[in-house]
Amino acid sequence: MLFHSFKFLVFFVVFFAIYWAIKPHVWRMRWLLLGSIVFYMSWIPWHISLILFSAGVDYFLAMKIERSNRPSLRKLLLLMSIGTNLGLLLFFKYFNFFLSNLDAALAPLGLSVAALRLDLILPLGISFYTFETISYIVDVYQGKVRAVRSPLDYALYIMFFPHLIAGPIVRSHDFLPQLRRPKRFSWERMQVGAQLFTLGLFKKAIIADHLATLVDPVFAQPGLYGSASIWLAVLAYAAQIYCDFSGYSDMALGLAHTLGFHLPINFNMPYFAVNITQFWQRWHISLSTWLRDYLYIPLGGNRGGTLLTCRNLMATMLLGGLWHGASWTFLLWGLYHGLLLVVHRLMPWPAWLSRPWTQPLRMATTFFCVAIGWVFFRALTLEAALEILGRLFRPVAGLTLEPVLWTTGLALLGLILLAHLAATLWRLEGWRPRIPAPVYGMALGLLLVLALVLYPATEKAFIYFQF
Amino acid sequence: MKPARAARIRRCRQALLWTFGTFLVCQLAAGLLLDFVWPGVRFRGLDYALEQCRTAAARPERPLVLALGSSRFGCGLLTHVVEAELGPDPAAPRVINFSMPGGDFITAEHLYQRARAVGCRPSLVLLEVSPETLARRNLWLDMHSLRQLTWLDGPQFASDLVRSGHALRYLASRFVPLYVHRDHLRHLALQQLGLENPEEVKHRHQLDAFFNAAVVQSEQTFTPEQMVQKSQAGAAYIQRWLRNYQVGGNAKRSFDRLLERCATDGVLVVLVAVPVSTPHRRLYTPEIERAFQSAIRAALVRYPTMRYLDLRGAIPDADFYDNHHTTTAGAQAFSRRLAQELRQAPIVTVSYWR
Repeated sequence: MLFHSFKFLVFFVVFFAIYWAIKPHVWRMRWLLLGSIVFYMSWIPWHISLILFSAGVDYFLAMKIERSNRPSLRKLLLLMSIGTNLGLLLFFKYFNFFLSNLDAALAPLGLSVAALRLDLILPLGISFYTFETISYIVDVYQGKVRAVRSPLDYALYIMFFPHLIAGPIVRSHDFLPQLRRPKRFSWERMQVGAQLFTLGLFKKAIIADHLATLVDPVFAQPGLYGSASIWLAVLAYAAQIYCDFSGYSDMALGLAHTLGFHLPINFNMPYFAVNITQFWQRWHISLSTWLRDYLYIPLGGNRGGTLLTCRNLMATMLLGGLWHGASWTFLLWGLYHGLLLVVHRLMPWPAWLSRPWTQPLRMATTFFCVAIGWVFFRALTLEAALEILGRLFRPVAGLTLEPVLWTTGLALLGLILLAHLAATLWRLEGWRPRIPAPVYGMALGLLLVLALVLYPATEKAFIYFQF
Repeated sequence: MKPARAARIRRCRQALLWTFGTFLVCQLAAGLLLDFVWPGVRFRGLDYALEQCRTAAARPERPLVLALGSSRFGCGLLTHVVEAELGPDPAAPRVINFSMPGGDFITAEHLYQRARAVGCRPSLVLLEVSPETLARRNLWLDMHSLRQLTWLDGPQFASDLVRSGHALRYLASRFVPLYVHRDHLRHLALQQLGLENPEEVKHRHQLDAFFNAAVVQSEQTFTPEQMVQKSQAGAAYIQRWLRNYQVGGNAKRSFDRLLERCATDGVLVVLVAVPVSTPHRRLYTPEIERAFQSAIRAALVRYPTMRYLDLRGAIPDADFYDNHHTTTAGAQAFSRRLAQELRQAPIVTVSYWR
């Protein structure tokens, strides 16, 4: 049940109407949990047992940790919880990857473990909810939050359907208090929600999925295409993944608003970042802050000198890369970003580079570096990634994308740039209150119609659903 | 509440209502246009088919045979073969295969009315019949929802839609038609702007309409394993359809109305039970067969000039590429056999056409 499917629309309309019709807060929250379970079970029903098991283990262990005064027991319980959650994640996501690499390593010895390969289907959202459960249990262990007494609250923290599948990764101290607060229907929140949802749908339907039509063939067979087409595909993918994921996040935020919840923002115009550190402060914010708080800082952060800081940065980004998927390409993507962060930290940048007039140049350089990194992220294999990089920097003749795809690609890239500029330079958001409500409402309605009309014939899932 | 906050809330409510109002008005208005002004957008292949009917109507000296049915008839009936078999005479009948994928009596009635509306007056209607198309449970209602059912049909079809599990599809086609038909709308827009190759457009229309069975089949090549898989999947689908079999529902009502309309128009009707494979025929249990034959018999009694041709076992299983669609060879065999049957039928003689 994708957010942009008619099935979801019907589900949400019914769910929403009953949600606000229920007056007692507890019953409303129970209805929300039921809706979340139905939503999750619309994919592979039995996967709900995994999430319930994971949530159940953490719920009980968190209470035990809080009640216990013995540090060793507390630590053991913490490790048990993290072990259970990471164990499930490792099994479903990395087992076959590990096995195929082991198989390759054993091949020279004439041994094979290929027979042990399992036909596993990655449970949707497992990477996201695993991080949420870990952050909760660590926070309880560190005494930052109190263990939740209500199983309903904890189940909703994990399973709240707008963020269940692909984030944003919420923190217990942000979300749990919202669950306890009685909800009141607010027209302001409804309007913000509708606006965010429509914007997200527009990004996904009109930009991301249309860019996919030119990105997919090039990344499927990069050896056939000439350098110009490869460049277009790489730039288009940078835009596609941004619009796809930020579109999903906007839709999730919008849906949460209509139910009276606030989710943290996940993107803040990342392609206008002036350096790679700033990029990671603006891209997938909920993941980067999670990695910072639960990996980078516990590893020592920047407190142990330059060398240790660099080590911590590399380790964090490598694991961040691996979190995205069980593949060497993701690992290399993480490594690449780790290197960029290290270089950014170590380089003695000249003072003139911090002057305002250099900003466009710095933005362009950062975007360029990030776009190159996406090649590893998107390529199907390591060989394909190297092939694409080779063709990017060494002009090669080959197939050219159809003119209509060039036009579409360039027009959409231009649209994104314009939207970024409009939001930054002209502060578009400030104009909104000055637009008459009927005009604004009609414009939003027409945007919604346009997004649905231009939606590709086959519904494509969000890129981050695979993680 | 402070006045500023009250004004803000009022503004938000107003903007939201305008958003949803605009959205709904656009969708509903577009829906009405698609229902009544551009039905070809909803019913792919309809325009191409009606064009053939118009051409036929312009030549009234040639009698017209209109075949109405599903993709089984669409694939199986090769018009040129039937025409050749019916005679080389320039005044021999012209055959139009107005069959559509998922074309039961509801579709047939709709198409017959449309054909009549463009001035087409057939002398003979070949109407595909099968136990499935007379069943109360109608699994093709999903296609009907997209193609031909309008707001006006809602009350009449409500129970059938719920029973067949296609109520959601109907609601989608009513409330968000611009989303449901977006693909075809975009193609039409590109075509109007001259951005689509006219040959490709024509080819797609032919495929949509199942008019040129040879085109359809030449596009599809299956390995024997694929054919077995398709056959099994198709049989499972039909089994679901025939569960708790009963003759009735809107399809049966359309059948009755269509026969009545043909009788009123003075159009001869031949009911054709088209070929299906042996595994498919095995799904027709004696109870199903009894109920089906009884319905057909009742219609034959009511309309004595009507004929019924049971050709379900007319061609061997090797001539199917799944459980009920014929290969080109199968289509040729079936078309020849059908033409022979038509020639031999007492009232369908050469003199009849003159």
